[in-house]
Amino acid sequence: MAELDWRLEQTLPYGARPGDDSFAWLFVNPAVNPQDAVPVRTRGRRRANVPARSLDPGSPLPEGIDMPSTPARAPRHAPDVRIGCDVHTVSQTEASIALFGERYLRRVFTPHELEQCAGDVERLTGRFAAKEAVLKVLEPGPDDAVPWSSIEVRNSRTGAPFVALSGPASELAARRGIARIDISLSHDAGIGLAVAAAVHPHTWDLAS
Amino acid sequence: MTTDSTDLHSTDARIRAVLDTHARLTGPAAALGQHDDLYAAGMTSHASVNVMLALEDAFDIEFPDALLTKTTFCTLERLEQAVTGLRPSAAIQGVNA
Repeated sequence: MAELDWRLEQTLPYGARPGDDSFAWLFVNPAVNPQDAVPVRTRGRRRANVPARSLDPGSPLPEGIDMPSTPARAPRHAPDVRIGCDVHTVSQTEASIALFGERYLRRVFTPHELEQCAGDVERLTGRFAAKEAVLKVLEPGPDDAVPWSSIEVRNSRTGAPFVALSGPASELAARRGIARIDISLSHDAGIGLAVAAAVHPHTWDLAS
Repeated sequence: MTTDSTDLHSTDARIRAVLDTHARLTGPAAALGQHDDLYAAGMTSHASVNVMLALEDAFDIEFPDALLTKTTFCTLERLEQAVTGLRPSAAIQGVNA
């Protein structure tokens, strides 16, 4: 029977801290698709997190835990963590500004970013790389319109950059199940570099 | 009076000229087929910004946010469709330019 192919896998729940005695468990059927998984369902209702001592991978299912009915009914989930990176040269940013001036700046950057960078092309270059890194995390489809200005890089009070999404980018993130994207930027030697990472809320918000 | 095929030829030639200048292709745009993938031919995402702005200048159009998709910029055919759709008279003016 197909359901015998399911196995339990332990994952860390979204927002968990080291030392938490709480883990999320997923039924995974690699024969179907490694990314197809369903949350552990306890009899009567779904449970977001199951104490680690309750289950061990490979062990017989304890009383009250039901197997998924069929692989076909398993919801499809993206990986827990998504990352994206991008590099961009300062010279290309300079060339675009020289060619298209304000039109280029207004189409790519938000008013807040332009104010924050105050004409510093290296910082603008880093922000463009950040937008591209975030796009790689969001994985827009061929027909998803995501204007660069819907991905904004801001700075916290400590100076650390963070990403604020709006409009189409925000909607795409919601469709992808992405609640937050972390970003890291650097620029040196005429190159801007950015890495973006997102953690999925995953399946334990299905408790109902 | 111009024919449709002449109009399209002119639009195609002007788009290829924009691509040669701004798309950072690995080869001449003249060698591209209508359905060749421009990204596979070397166009980067940032270059696509320049292509968009240059097309706006060349055809006196403005790409709305809804057209900022990978599909819009992926081939010559798609670019031509976008340009023509944004400015139906663009091709005719191109012939007369």
